[in-house]
Amino acid sequence: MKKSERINTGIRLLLIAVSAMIVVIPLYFVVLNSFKPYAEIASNISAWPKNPTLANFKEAFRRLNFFVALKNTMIITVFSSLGCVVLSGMTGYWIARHNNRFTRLWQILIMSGMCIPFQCIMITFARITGMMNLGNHLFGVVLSFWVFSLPMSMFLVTGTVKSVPYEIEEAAIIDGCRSLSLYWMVIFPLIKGTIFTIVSLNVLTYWNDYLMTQFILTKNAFRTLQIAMQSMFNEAFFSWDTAVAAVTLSILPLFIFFVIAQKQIMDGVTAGAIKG
Amino acid sequence: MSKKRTVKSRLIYRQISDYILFMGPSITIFTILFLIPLMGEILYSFTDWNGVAAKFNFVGLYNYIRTFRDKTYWKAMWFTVKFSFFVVVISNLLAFGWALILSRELPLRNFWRALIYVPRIVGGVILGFLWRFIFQNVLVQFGEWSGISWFSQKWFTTPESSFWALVIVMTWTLSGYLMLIYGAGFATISMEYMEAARIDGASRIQVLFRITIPMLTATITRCLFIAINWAMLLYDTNISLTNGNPFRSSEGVTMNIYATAFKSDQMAFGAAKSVIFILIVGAVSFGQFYLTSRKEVEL
Repeated sequence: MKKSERINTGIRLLLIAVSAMIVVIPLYFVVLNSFKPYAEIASNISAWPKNPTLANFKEAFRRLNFFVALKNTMIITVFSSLGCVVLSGMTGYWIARHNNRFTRLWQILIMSGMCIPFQCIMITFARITGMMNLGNHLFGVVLSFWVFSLPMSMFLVTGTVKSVPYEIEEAAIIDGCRSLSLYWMVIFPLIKGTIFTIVSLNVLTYWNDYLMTQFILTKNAFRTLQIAMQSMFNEAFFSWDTAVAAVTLSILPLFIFFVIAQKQIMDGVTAGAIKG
Repeated sequence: MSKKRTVKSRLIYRQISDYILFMGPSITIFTILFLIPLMGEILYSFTDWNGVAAKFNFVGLYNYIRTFRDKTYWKAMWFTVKFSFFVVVISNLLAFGWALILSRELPLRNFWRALIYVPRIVGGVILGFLWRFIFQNVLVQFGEWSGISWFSQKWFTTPESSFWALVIVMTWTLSGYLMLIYGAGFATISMEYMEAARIDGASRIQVLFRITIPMLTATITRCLFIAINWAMLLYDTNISLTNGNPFRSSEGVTMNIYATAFKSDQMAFGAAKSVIFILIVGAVSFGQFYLTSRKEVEL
């Protein structure tokens, strides 16, 4: 390597290291201070804890009703992802392979969902979910997520299916493969990459949604992490030591997921960027 | 003859049942929970429905005229537009810079990318609460320690501090995501073009502006589109970080619509506000899309 190039790499490394540090430092402060009693937070926020304590977490657990909230959030995320994969995969495949007036109409209608945000339909949405008795049922949220993640996911599937050569399907049909098994045994394995992209993009939305969920889930027993956090912070009486532990707790599950599936998640985002 | 017909009708039956199997469920739930609410929203905006009463009357454009006269709505709109402008510009510049730095070989490249992307996993109201701690505790102590009074100000008590706090938080969570998308864009450009230009005597700056950026136009269009959408639709972070304080000066449009529709029970009025909002968001995103995608270069 030439000398000038080495200097160049050094500068770039410095820039990116400083940036990454600034980006991560808020998370560091939150985690660090959740182990400290309030007096230590108030006196010196950046110091290492003198008497590390788990009391904050204990209090946060109780206030958030953490396990119930975590369970609800996980149920919603898992079932929303599964349903989204099934629905957007099958419909996207069918639309990509059958080009007629009916499918074109629905393709346009569903795609229009990508440009119309939830904010603009929320008033009647709240009314309709109320009328359908979806309120206070986890399935109500799951069903809604299937609908709201359909446009984007279907868009990605349709694009990918078009790049799968039709000859493969013809061969399978001659071998006696009917539509349902044709999709699940032949096409689905071929578009797995896109399916993974869809899941890794959607999980974050499912996990972090607040606006839509709060219309449907209002009872304590059905709180998700987001809703539990909001109501905890809305209570008139709270102190920062508990609050900061609660923030750490509620970030932790997704953080663990990110550390484990880091490479796949980031590849998924990148792939989604190119295909979209 | 009759045998032929049964075969044919069985084929048609099979085809219809396939359509129902593959498209039926999606179409049904999409119609019930998306298309009907959308139609309803537009319909309600022309009525005087309050959300509770069983009956309502058509009142024509009354709600739209009220929206145009509603000062709080346009204040929220101005806030959202100004906020989006800063978020979109700053986050895209940062993301582009980081992606550029990471576009060539660098030790621990994936580690840096992961670190910068991490904020993306924090979302919704939790994002706002996390940063409330940073602003009201960490920054205040930092300001006192370093003597820079900007940090130790009473956050969320002045319109400026609330505004910039929201811009910082949104930029924090969005930049890493955009960086990955820019990174994907960089990966598709062949290095040969840059090397050829360098050999022909072009400076690094010239290569950046004359070759790299024009070739990335599609990616830039996409990133701007995502950033505009995210920023304009701000809600969760808005209620958890500033909650409109002080005196509804840091209130985005969604918060304004929500307050009208669900807190003061004027559903129809809120519906008119959301119809106007969707038109404005649509106009901004597609205007941007049109302007930048015109510049796309094809090879």
